Amino acid sequence: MEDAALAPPALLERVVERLLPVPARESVMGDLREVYLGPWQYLGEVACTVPRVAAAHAWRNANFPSLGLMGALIWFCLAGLRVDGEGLDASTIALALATGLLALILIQMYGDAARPTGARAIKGAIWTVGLVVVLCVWNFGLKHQRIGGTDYLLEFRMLQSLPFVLPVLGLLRTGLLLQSDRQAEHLTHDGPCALEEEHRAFSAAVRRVNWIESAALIAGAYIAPGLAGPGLWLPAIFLATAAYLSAQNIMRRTEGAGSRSDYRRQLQTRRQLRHFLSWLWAAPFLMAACRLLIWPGYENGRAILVALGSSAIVSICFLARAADSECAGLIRERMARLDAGPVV
Amino acid sequence: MADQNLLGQFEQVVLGAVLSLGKNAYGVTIHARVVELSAPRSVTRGAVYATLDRLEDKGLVASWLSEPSKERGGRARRYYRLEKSGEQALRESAEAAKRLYDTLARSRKGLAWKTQR
Repeated sequence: MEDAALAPPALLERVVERLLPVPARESVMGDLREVYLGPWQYLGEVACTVPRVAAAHAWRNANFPSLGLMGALIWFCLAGLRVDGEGLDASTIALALATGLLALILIQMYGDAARPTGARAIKGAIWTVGLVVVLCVWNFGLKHQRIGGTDYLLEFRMLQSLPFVLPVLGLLRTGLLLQSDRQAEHLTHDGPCALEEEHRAFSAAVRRVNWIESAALIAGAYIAPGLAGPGLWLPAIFLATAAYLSAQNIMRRTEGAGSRSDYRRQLQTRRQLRHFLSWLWAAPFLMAACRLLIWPGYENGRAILVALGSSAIVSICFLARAADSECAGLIRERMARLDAGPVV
Repeated sequence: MADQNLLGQFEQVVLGAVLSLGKNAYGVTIHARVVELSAPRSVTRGAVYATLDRLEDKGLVASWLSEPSKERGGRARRYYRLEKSGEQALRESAEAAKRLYDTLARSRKGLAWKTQR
């Protein structure tokens, strides 16, 4: 009873919990509860604490090169967007870009980056196929489509075959889950020496992947225009990203042995970078689906092309999001290990 | 040698608080000690958390989560401890502050002001 009287109201605590960035929730919520004297005192403490903690986390986790590259990618995608046949003006794109970047920062601060369970991952696959079915059914109402024509029949058959796509997406998603599980099994934490070894192994793996991905990005810069259309924006982003990854490798080689804070910072940077890279690799394929399927489909009244393009976009987004959430979840598990025990 | 330019005055106070608290250095106790050391200036809890995060990013302190406790609604405490680089930075700051104090005391031929508590 006495404990209950000294605790903040549950509803108030839940609101404060939502306002705090995920990494700070546990400790700051506990501290605020420990010093609780009354609801107004609690609100005063919250007002003095939460904005400062949120701002500090946003600043701490903002990886500006990564955000810059993400901003360039968003700009490229929006600049290619057509609404009623017309492109967006620069001020609209700038506003959308600023909003997008702010949303990214907030998602990183407040989003739950834990790896999804098997059940949740399969549900995601089911929702994806459901969305594709809805888009295909909606496409039946496409203007200038000849009812009973070849496209109409093809689209109907495609709709019938969609339930068979579900196991494929489910298998791909499960494959990603199992791969992440295998990586997570290798993580152990039996004291400071094991942590140092884990950091060293992580740094070595990141360096290896960075070199491989840099080479792949340089190759991608030549291939991307074939998929995404003519223009230098996307190849420039590919090359800038390759340069950034290579620079990361060169800089880390000259730094000394890392500490816990160095490992934590490296993990945060890696999470942001992987988030950006998941969508960078998806971008040319998304643009290809728009350019080669959806826009010609709308222009020529070919519903089947629009249906195929929509399905491709939804599936690519599903896979990009899945790969990103697995990686983010693994990194979150590593960071949780850093918090797990006393520092010796 | 730690770069002293990286340590602000408030950072020195927070490091001093963490060092003086030993094994009992977590958010609540660190804030209370910082308030003591900064008196009569008031210090918000958020400023202390932000500074602790900054110090951790610089590698001057390390932190970890304890076991959850019932009095905190089943939430863990985040304990802090000075790293070697943090101890060194604090020592150098203290030595610099002492040299400045001694210089001022000599130049004014004894202190003409009283320290405020």
